[in-house]
Amino acid sequence: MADKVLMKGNEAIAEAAIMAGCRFYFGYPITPQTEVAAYMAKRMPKIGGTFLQAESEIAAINMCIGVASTGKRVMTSSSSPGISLKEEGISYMAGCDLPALIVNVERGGPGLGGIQPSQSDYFQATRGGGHGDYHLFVVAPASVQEMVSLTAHAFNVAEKYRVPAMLLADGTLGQMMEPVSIEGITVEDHDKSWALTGTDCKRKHNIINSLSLLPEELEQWNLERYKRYEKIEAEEPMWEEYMMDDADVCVVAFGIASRVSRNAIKAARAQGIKVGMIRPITLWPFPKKPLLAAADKVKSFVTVELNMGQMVEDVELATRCKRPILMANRVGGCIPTPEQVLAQIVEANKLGGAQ
Amino acid sequence: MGEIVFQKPKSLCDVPLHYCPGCTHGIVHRLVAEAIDELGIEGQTIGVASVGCSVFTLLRA
Amino acid sequence: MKRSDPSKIVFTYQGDGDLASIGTAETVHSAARNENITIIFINNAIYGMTGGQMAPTSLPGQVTQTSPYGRDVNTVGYPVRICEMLSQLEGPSYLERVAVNNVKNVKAAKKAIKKAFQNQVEGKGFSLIEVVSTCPTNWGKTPEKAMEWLEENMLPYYPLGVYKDKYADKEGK
Repeated sequence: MADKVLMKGNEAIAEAAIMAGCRFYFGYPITPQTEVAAYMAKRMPKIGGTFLQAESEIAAINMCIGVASTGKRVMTSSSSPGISLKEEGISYMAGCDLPALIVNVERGGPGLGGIQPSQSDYFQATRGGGHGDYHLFVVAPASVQEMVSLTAHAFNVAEKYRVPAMLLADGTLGQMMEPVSIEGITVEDHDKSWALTGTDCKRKHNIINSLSLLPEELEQWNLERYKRYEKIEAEEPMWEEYMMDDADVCVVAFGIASRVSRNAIKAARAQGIKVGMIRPITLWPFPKKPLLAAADKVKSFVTVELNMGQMVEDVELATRCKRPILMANRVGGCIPTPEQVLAQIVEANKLGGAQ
Repeated sequence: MGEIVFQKPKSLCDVPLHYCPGCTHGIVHRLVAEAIDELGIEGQTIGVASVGCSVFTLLRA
Repeated sequence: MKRSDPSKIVFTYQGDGDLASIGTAETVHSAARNENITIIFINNAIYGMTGGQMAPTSLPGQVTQTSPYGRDVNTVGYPVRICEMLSQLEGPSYLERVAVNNVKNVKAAKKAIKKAFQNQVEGKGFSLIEVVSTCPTNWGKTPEKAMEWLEENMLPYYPLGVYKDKYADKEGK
């Protein structure tokens, strides 16, 4: 049995990245994720890795582009406003087909916002985030253990398909401490023949570039990239189903919202309401199949989010708006309470039938 | 008869400062406010605070 | 803002992260353009609000949350001296470094800050006052010890004084 250690979410991400073979971290302080940088500052020099506090989030993402181009695992982390700064660089990474991990420990927004948790960067994360047609592989942990397992998984998927990956957490998960096992992390070996490693005059030179002056060529690059996205959508969605077998109402929530929802579901079940939850673990690719299947079985949905209503749109799309969807949301750094979610479950249970 | 030898500058808002005890932000805030008072420019002055502890220059809450 | 309404007196109050790290480009270029504004730059060699990380102005060997073994100049370079750096530019009008660690320095700081505002009133261009400051909490020192540390370590690296004054010769001040 694996030994467990008590770790803070932010630190667990950092340790997992190191276990997953990441030896380069570039970041900048911003609450509530600064512990990732502080942990890396302590650990990286001890294992021959590189830690650098960049002069800005923009500099940090560009440093990641540099390392990623050489085929090595690299990570950066920030929170909401800092991620916005990184978006041009992230678009470049997608356009250059570079694997890397970008961690967003979300805080209240928009603007400078607050330092308390939110999930209001969902759109930003799942719709690319920067300019142009692209997607990131986006994972949303709901526990400190998942902060570990999904960090490792994201690196593997990023390299497998040559796409940048994002770990979307929130301030609560970043600060929370839970027992975790750091063992059992697998580092997959994927083709890196595209990387810039010096030709040694023995091979044709590689080019990492997202610019094309020929529109038809740029179109081809986009089409080829989207073929890889199709593969990801077919093979990589992850989700968890909780008490869905006989459910009349389906709660959909990710991250910290799913933890709150569990309590509400238990309370609702105690009242005799048959409610379950589908928890997306990958936000892109979104788990459309189980939601569409659920739409044929349940009466209604309740989405629980720390934003003004973002994932709910993906639920509407996935379920083809077949059933009514209620929302239980809080913003600004506030977290929905189990009572608030329960109230919506009770309301949703009263609804029924197709729209 | 008492004489006022030192008082809070007029343009420094009468709210508790958010800074740590012994932080020099308090001193500098006072100097800036005194300069603004002495030059008589309070009515035309707009301050911009940055991200960081200096953001407390403008937060009242 | 100043371009929007030049009759207003616009000043900034910035730290070493905002002015000397993430905002370096903006600082250099607004100085180069000689924007008629007043900059108060608080240099306390650390990022206070976020819990004590290294700043571009952190000293060699200084232990911070992101330089846990002390600032290693071999991997992260030397601290940045803003007044000296900006003084190389043709643009800015008045650059002075002051401190507030004793009464004499506080008086000098007051004079410099007032002049920086006066310059704007008189349309004299870009004025920046760098205030060498303490952060007892994140330096891990008492306020008194922090002042001592400032005197012994920061002032030698960041000498106080006027680094540029376009109008000095003309007015003999």
